[in-house]
Amino acid sequence: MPYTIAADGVRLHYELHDYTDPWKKAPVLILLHGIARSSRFWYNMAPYLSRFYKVVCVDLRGSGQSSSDFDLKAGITIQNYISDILRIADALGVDNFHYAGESLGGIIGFVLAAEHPKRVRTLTTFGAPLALPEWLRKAFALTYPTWVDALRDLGSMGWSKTISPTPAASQNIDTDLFEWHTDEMGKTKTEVFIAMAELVPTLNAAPFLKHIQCPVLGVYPPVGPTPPDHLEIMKQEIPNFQLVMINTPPVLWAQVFAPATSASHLLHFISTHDGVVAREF
Amino acid sequence: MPYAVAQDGVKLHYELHDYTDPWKKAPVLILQHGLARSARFWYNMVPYLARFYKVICPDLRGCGASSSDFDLKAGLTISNYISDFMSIADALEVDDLHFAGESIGGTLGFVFAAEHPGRVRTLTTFGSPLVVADWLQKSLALTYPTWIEALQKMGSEAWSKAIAPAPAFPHNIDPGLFEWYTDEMGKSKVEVLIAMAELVPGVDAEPFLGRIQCPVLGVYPNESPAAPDQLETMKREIPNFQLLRMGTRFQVAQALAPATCASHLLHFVSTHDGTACREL
Repeated sequence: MPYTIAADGVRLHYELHDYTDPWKKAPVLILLHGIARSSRFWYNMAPYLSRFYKVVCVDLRGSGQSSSDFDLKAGITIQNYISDILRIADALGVDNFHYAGESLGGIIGFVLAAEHPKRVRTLTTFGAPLALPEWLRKAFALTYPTWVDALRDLGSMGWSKTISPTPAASQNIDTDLFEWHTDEMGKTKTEVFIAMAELVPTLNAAPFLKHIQCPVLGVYPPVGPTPPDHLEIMKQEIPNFQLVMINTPPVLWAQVFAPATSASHLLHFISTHDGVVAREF
Repeated sequence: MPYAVAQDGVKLHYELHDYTDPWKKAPVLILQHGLARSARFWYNMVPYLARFYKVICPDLRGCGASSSDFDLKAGLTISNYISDFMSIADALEVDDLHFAGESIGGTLGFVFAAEHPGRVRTLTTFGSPLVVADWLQKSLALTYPTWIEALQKMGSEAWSKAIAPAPAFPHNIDPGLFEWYTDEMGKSKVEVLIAMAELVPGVDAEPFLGRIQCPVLGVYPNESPAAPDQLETMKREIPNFQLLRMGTRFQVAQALAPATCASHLLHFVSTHDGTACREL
């Protein structure tokens, strides 16, 4: 799978899933994962999208197969994340692209779309809040004073295993799916996770929303990490915003439980924008 | 992309497309290309299948990214092709698999299913003939006395461009599709095509049909290399056979209607497995 080099030399990994007609110049769709996840988490949506779009699943610096061999505290910043995404678009030779992100990936998307209006054709966010809500910060800290303390003591795997059985979520869900998710999250390097846990509480996408020129689709579960007032702010501030509520279990990642539905909404949104039909005989 | 090694040492390339849930043991579905084509030709059907099946697209020995560095005359045989399928299944460590083939790939499938009933769960053929009839050999020869002479004189690329129109593709086809399809065919090594052209006229799958124990789905355009009498033979001889006619007279149905072909294939294999291939 392909790599490219960031402006500051960090090696960035991404997956490319491309089943488009080779003689057509299909647009690029970048999918960005959230905290403690990786490009692999998009495996269940990728086949629904990749017949009509060149699907690029990026590993954030430090995550997945991207390098974590750099000064994490100085290097894990929102500006570097954004610069990395543009770098990958450059490596793919595209002027602009569709962007979809879940959780932190969506927060990055709000900022990216506001700051680089010419490069982002459309933005889709899956369950992404504008900022880390207070209740989630407390939940992530478990019984520790802070989230970072919890991570330092438990490590990635211990933290992931403790946090995963969120209320209600564990009841009617395939337990193997849950285990896979937890194990994959647990593979995140603890020091990377800590650097992300230091960054994320400082982020706030709200001031960027009104500068977003491209159409934005928000896909959200009825109950999740995004408080209702965040959705209200999105509706008020983003000039061109559509909200789709998706009826999945009240956990962080709607797209995990409803990949076909999530992909169908995303595909319809971006292909309508492009004026192409993403269905065939 | 992965390789397996054939019994006689030939390096066999295959593509693996797997978007199944990692914690489930999804079954394997082999998609086998036909004459002068390669694994790449399945790209447009793969995304419809690979969420629920581990999709394997092998390059026949001599074709695509598989090795052609062997004695072609001695090495290109039906029994070697079948043995190569077994080598790939062994490399994947699966006891049994679903098999789908287009054109000669499906013809090989009839033989494979008959000879290895324990390994083939279901068989699907896209426009595959039982034998390459005289009229078809003549059309493959173009204006030359024989098919082999046509290949020798024209080379792969010119032959591919000349053979593809009319019976295969409609006149109003996307020119980009036609270009790509014939360019890809033209990449075949001409000496491999010649060796295949020597093998294929001697192949007859009919005697094998009665021994096929697995369910068989035949997907055929209204006109195809399998003439109506061959379809009648399939209906009569194969114990468990379903025939689907595509609403087109053009031979490359799966290139023109990938979603429809994949949908029928997926429904057939998943119904056999007793699993639902649709999700929220």
